[in-house]
Amino acid sequence: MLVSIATHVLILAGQSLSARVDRDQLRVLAPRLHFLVGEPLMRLRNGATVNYEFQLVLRTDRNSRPVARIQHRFAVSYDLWEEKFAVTRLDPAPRSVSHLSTAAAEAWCVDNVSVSITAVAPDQPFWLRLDFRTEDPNDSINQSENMGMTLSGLIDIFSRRSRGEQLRGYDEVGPLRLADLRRKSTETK
Amino acid sequence: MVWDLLIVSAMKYLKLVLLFFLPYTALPVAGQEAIPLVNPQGVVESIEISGVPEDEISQAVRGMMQKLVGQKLDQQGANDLLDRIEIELPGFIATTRLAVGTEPDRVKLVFVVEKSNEEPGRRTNVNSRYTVEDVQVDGIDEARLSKGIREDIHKLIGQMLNQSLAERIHHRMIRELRPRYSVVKRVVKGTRPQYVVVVYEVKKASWIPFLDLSPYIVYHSKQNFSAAADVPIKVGSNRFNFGIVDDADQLLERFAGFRIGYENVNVGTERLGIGLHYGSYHERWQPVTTSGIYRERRTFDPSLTFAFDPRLKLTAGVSLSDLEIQYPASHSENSNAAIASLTFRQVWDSSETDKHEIDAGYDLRAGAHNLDSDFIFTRHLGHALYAFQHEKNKLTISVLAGEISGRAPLFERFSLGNTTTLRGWNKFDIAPLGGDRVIHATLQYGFGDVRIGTWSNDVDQKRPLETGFYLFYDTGAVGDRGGAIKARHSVGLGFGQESFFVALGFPIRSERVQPTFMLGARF
Repeated sequence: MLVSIATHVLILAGQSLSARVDRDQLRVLAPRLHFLVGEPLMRLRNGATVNYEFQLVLRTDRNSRPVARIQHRFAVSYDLWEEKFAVTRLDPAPRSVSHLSTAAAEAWCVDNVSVSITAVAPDQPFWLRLDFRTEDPNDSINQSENMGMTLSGLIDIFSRRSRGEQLRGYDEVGPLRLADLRRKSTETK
Repeated sequence: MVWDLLIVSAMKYLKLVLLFFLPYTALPVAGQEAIPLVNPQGVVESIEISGVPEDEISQAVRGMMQKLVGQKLDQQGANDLLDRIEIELPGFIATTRLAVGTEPDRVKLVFVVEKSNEEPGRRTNVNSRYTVEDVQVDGIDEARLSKGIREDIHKLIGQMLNQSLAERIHHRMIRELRPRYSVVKRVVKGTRPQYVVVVYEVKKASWIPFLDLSPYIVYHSKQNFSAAADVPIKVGSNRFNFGIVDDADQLLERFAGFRIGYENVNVGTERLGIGLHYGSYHERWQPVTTSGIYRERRTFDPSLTFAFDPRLKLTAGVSLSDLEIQYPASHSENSNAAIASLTFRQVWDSSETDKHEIDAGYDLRAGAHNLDSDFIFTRHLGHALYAFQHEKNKLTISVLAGEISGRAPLFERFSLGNTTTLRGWNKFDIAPLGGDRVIHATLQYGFGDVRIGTWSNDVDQKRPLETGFYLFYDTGAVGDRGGAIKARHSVGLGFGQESFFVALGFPIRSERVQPTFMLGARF
């Protein structure tokens, strides 16, 4: 099992995440976070849909309790004829995009995960962490019936036998300050 | 004691080392795609509408589209427009497509509008717009499939790809063809543009599974923790494993040490497998276990397995054990036994909601002079389990019975009262030296996903608190031939699922009833 986990768990070694302020939302860029790889990519190229769950967490300290957190689910498929990816954000508001390259599909998912900035003061240092994982095909069926996080769901996640197709990873950045991000945004414009 | 500490420390450090190193073995290969083709953060240089004539979209929406030109791509703004297009054109799916602009920081934004055969909310696979040219069943003759599946296959052909029907066929094929076969579904390009072929690849299932060496940790409030972890390395049909174990749950002794093994589940034919397993353990005993104890146990178990089919298997071999006996004087003894076992396991569905499982087996172990054994004995053990699951309800009935004749070492003797038998009792209160006769039965009823309340997470969001519960009744007796063997009973309840449990067992007796707390996970 440990070997199985080893070949399917992805954790980045250093910070590559960057953040920007977009209206009242914080968005991230994660150019080194590649999730259209390995077993999920093989399933996509075989015409299957692969669901990904992303979570963006904002903390005022690297190891403190989250002050804001958002989770989004995406369904990714691969157009067999055009050899491009299509992505649908399943929730909170369904939205789709198609004809994307691998990198553009990854970037679109990450760009569509944002967290509200109202939870932090302009000069308050904070950390952002972006996590992703692939969902088991059966999970998506179950989750459509039960969207809440349940104790039995957690038990299942932590006790089930490892599945070859499971892929997960994360990246984080900090400490950041809203005032700095806003200044950088103004300079860019 | 020192050995135990070393083992426990080694387990902790092995876990830490693995956790530290394993993630880095899976870092992605750099440069899998050198340059992004489209810059999703670019400035929109033009807008196009594809799939429907522009005038089918209202002037107001088209006006809002044009306002995006010259601006940095506003995904939210584009998403809002997609919503408006889908409202104006029911039955169509609208997506955005990004194309490379004339400059690296510019993009062309295309609103693609297409008819879709998928229900709203389930439009998750872009290939649903293609027509199914053919459905192929590889690996077996299609005539072996039921009429219902064949009819559904023909329904797919000539229609736009119906993902849910294709998936239903996949699951029905799995149900019909197991346990002899596994089925993989693929969708590939057809011979004509805009056509696809659905391929169901049927492969023979492995007849002989590898030995279950899943890591586990269990806790019994009167017997403390037990745990084991193995690192398996699989190469084709071969598997090597190295593991460590510290267990007080399975036997009368707490044994701690390491085990290594080799298995081949396809020795020339998928019906034949071999296994070579070696374990070296240091033993610890409860004060109530006073005779026949040994300090060290080393065991080598070579065996051959023959599968009549994937459900029915026969295993035969020998189990060679070297014991360092402590009393009355330190000396070594061998417990060498011929072993044989016959196992049967089948899981099947009788309907969409009903599932059945049968797991039965018979084990024979015989210590003999001609194997140079100091322990001469014959041990029989039979067990059977039947489980019936209807939706979230599961009823399990299991029985086991065993007998030993002759003189067997303690690790061969039967005991009841752990995390799986007579839950609520302590095996050392029942038979501290075990017994040569055993009988046991369990009746368990489980019901799943009961809402027991709500909890607030660390950002104060209310979440339902749900879990599967089960109630159990265990009864059994263990003892020696000629002695008094008393039947004992226990009841209890627990929650969790197959691989994780928390349970409270109550022994039924006239004296003070003290419950036993148990928890565990098998990964």
